[in-house]
Amino acid sequence: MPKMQAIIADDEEHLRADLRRKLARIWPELTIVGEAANGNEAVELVARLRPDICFLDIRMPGLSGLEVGRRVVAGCRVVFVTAFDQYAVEAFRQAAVDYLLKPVSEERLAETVQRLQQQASGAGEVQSRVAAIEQILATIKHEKDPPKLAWLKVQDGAAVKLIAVAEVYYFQAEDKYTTVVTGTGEWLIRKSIKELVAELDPNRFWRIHRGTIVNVARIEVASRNFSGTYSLRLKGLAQNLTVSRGYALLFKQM
Amino acid sequence: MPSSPNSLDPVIGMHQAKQGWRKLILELPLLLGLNLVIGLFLTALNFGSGLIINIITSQFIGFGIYSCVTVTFALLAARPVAVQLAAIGMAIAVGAGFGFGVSTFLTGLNLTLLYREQGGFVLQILLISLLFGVAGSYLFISKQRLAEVQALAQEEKIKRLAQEKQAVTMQLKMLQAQIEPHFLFNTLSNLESLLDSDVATARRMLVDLSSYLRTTLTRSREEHATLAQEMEIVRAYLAIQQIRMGARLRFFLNLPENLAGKSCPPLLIQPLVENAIRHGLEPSIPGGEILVDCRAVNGRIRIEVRDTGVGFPEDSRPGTGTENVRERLLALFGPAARFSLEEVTPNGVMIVVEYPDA
Repeated sequence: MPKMQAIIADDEEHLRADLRRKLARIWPELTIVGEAANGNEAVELVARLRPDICFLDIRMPGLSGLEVGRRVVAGCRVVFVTAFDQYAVEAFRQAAVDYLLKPVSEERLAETVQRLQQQASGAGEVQSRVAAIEQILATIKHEKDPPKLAWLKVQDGAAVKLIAVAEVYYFQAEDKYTTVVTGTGEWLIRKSIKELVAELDPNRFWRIHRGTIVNVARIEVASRNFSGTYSLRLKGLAQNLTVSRGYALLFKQM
Repeated sequence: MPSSPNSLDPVIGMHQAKQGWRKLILELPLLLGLNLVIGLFLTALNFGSGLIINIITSQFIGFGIYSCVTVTFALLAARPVAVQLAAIGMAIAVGAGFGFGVSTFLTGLNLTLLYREQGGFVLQILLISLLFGVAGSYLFISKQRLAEVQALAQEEKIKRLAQEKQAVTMQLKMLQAQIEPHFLFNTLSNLESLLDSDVATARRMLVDLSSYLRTTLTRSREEHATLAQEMEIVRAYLAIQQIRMGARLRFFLNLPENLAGKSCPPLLIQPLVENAIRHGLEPSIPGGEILVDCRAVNGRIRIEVRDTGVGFPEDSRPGTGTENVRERLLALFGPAARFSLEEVTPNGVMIVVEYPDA
């Protein structure tokens, strides 16, 4: 068997050194030809050095380990290394790719090394390896339900300010933009009402009109008009908001 | 009507809007009964023009007074008591006159003729109306006052329960957010690696880790801490991250000596620093700096956490840790607290927290 070559990618220097030492003990014939401190460097190293094996940390600056893996897996064997990532670890298990958990135990590393030595890379399995990583990426994206929107980025003069959504009174659709009204001012944001509906917590923000979303905590009184629609008075705000007939159901029976 | 500018939710608001009608329905039997008693009483005294007419007249006068007084009372709820009393006195007179007018019209009497022939009688009726009007208004208004006091107590109770619930939720969130597993396992891996290569550094890291764990685990259950204690957690946390990130992390902490003993809500600054590392510096290839600066400004404590990391991505989600700090600050100090978050140039984020120095 020809002498194998590997690279190690991790943003933490001590952890790269640690893996290098452990590999030297368990697999002395393996040559570590390079180390990368971020994802972008890792891709570059693989392109330049064409190693047989890549050890890739998942959480790295620049490209993540998984993104690096997707790009290089056709050319080399990939072993993912991660400290803690419940979704990723489950995905690795299902896709049957090699992975190591930090702190890396020598016993676990020995098993992985054995597997790497047995399966000299064959051209036939490249397809399935690519598919496996694609599957992991898809699973992680799917499982990590994005948390509800908590902050809005607005332009305040020259500065970019962040406004907590809890401080918003209501959102009002304008032509192309949406106005955000808080107790201290009004700002325009690029998000549409439709996007906001998808991203805001539906228990705290109600859509009351095609173009209006209100912060429920800010409602002081909802009063019924003779036409059967409701109008809302917000705490500390002079202007009233109209609830369109389609959304009046929110306020009935209260 | 209890006026409550800080109703907790729209339910109470709706409740108020509906109460006008409900009040009328609830009070109507009492009003009609009272009017009937007055009519019977006057007939028994041989006053007026017979039972039927007396009852009709007393009903209308009573109803007139009731309407005028209720409307006046609702309109002037926020005015001084003297103004209210004067206005209610006038409302009784107007209501009585109006009610008497309507009843004479309905019973076929000509008011002008009646007044010309029996002026004394008309005056007597108005005086009696005034007397009973005052007594009746007193009855109704004190009844309403009682209901108001009860409603207020109820509202206070709801508010207190909501606050308690919020405090518990907040504490739970804080506990959950504290020790990020990724941080913990990465630190342990570093320790294991350093035991092979650099035992002195490993020892330092272990001491910082225990200090960090001890304070985060115990502090979160305490109500008060000092700025010095809080800055010590921040230091231990950053010292650990320093070993992990090496030259990619530089940090500067500034706590003037005279502020060391000032109070600081536990785990107020640490989550902000953790956030700066996680979302600002860790994703940045060259890394950057973190500055934590405490100072006293106009009798308030002002803490600035600034980093030179990647800033917020377009789809900005600065993390729940930061949002928790903002909520907690608001719950503890209300509008006296300030929390601002903005991007700075050329890159990075600045968070400013201010609270009263008490």
